[in-house]
Amino acid sequence: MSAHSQILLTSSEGTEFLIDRDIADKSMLLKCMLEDIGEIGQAVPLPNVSGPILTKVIEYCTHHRDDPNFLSANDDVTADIDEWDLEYCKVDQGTLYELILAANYLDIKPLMDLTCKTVANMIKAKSPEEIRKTFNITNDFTPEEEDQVRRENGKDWVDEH
Amino acid sequence: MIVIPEILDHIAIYVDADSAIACVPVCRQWRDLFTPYLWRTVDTGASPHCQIFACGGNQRQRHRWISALFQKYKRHIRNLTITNHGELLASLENDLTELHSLTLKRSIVNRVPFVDAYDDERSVDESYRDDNGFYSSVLHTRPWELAIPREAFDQGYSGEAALTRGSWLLVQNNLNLRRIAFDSTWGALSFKNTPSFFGYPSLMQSEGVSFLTGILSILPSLQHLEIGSHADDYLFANLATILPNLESFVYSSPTCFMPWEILILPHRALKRLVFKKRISTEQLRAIAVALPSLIQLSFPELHNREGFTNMTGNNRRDGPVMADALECKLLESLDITARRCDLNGVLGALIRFPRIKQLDKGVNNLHLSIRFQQVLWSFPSLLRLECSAKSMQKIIFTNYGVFEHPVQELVLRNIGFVANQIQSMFLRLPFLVDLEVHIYEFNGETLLELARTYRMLERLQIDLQDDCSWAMVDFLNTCPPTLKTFRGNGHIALVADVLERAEWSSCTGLEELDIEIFGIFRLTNEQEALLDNLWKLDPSWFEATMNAEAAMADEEAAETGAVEQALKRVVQLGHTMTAAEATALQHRQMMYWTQREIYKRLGQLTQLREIDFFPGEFWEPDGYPWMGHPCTLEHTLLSGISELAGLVHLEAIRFNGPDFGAGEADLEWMMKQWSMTKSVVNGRTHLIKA
Repeated sequence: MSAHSQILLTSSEGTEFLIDRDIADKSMLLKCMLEDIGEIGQAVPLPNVSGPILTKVIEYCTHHRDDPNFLSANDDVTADIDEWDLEYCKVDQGTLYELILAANYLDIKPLMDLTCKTVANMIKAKSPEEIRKTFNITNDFTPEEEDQVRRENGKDWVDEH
Repeated sequence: MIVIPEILDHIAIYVDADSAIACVPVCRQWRDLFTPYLWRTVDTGASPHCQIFACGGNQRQRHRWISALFQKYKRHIRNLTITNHGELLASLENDLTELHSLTLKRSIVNRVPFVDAYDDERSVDESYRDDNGFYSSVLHTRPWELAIPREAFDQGYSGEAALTRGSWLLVQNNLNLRRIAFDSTWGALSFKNTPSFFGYPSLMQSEGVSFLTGILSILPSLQHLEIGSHADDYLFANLATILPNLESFVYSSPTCFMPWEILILPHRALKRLVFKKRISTEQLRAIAVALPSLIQLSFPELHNREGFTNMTGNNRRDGPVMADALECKLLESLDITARRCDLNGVLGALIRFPRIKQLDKGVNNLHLSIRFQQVLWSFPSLLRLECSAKSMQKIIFTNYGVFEHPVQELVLRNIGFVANQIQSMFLRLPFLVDLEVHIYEFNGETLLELARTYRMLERLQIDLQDDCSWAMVDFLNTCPPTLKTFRGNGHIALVADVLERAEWSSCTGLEELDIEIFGIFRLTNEQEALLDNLWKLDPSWFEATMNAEAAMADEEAAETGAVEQALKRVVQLGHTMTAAEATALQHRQMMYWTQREIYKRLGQLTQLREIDFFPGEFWEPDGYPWMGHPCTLEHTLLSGISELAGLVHLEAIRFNGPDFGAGEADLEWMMKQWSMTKSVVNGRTHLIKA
């Protein structure tokens, strides 16, 4: 296998992406697949990933192409996100969730960590009601349950009532 | 909306406890998902759990509430920090058995008189029998004699005894513990020891030994241990046999271990070690040899108040170290209160630490050249060295073998009396980033030499001699672009020197600046009187002429133009302008023009956070014609303070005298511009960001 070999990927709508093998290897899914079956010479279909999202994923993998600590990059739960990554995550919520799903599906741990960290940062310093609004979640508690949760949480979320 | 549980689970890893508390009430799915994260780590004395546990009732009610919560969430709790008796009781009542970490400490906010209930164990028995409480439910079913041998501990009042017993019972119940910490504030009983004798360590009695070895042997996962309670001498000397896999140990009792003991039984796994009491240089040397895996060594609370001149432990036979140098190969972090006593102890131990890149708290009171060299010998990989001389003592730079040393950043603070060493300093310390010298006034040549030599300088605090205005201005033009702070007394810049030279370019990164501007053109008293008369003719016209900010754009035209304008106007008013009046007018205009030019220069220092005009004593240079008025900057809108409006980072302006130059309107403008408040300190006006 030459170091410069390239892989063809097909997104859900059928758009083809030609990428270098070392970039494809950032995805554990593709890496294992390519190791198992060898290079088949035809496009690898990715029915769960749309074209624009795949472009974003490839952008991430290309930026971190020569990163020696790629796999442990976002291990530190409390560490700050670096500048490029921060800028990279400045996308609308829909894109961010699709990125999470793609990272999960393609098994790219650092991207998964990064996007989840970004969502966690969106939760920070918000009240439950603000969180519901941000993530468009319906409050499905019964009044009794809600009362109990509030009591056990030690904080009266006055802003909700 | 995120619905896939695995992904939410992944997000939850990054949500801190305080945010988790807001996530639980969001919806059912989130409650189920975030509850374990909220309860995994419980610190009863810290947010958010101290709020959750605060139920507003008395101690008994609080205890019941905590107990109910522990009962409900106990399968999630892994890391527990307990801060009083009631919480210990609740943990025991609810059979917490899955703990990985247990910390016991008394918190100041949580110090409640719950202990009173234990003053007499019989009364506790009575009061808790009905409550299904501590004594009846826990201690009766687990007899003291079988669970915890009473005779292993010193005598203490019964509250302490119950506390000790409860703590150890909790440890016994949690066989997966990785971390145990009995803080010294917790107040558990000490283990019984024979008294120490002539500096030899005390010996723990056999009951204590068998209890401790027994309980530690059932905790195979233990990685961190802090017990104190006078068990440290025994534990540390026998660590290799009792806990060969321990990674971290806190020595909180007085450090009495015999160096040879740990040399006989070296511990191969220990990585982190904390000493809360003094240790001797011999003990330190023994550690360097017997703990080959050590990467972190801390002395967080060393207080050599007794006046030891060395890092002397309780071991009295701590003579001078005659042995060869040792090397602590793996140690990466040495946390030490780097006062002279402690540092001398470390240096005196003749140990090299080749992996330590910085000494966190700097090195204080390093007043001997031999110590300076020793620091570099002991820490050959230091990247940054901060030295602060106590009470402005001198640091001697002779014999300083800089060229063999990779220090990249050197900080020298609080130094006095450097006069005869300045020149030799230049050659030897090219990596100086921070210099603070007192009781010495630098001359102009030396200041510029500083700028040429130290191109990495970030902070400079020095005083200057009186006649250095030219050098001060040249320094601002040539200083290293890294310079952020330039403070000190006597930073005089004469207007003539400022205006003669090119615009400031090098110093645009300055954040803090002390500067005294002198040599502003002044009017004589007679001229002031003449202008007063003109003003009376038509105040609004006169002020408009003087405040001709726009007309100042073209200096020549502005000067002549304004005067011509004034001539016309006074003729209209039926007044004939005399030559003296015209000169006075011209001088007034020039005075404001020069000040505005100075403010324009200052306005280019866009990073400026603090500016102090006039930090030193008042000084009036000779040779200026209009004595009687201080020839320094006015801080007024007329004189051009508005040129500073672009300094968006400005947080503080200080100037001499409560109202020097500046009137109400000027002060108001400044306070509004940077949201500052005004205070007067020692007769000087301070405007500080609110």
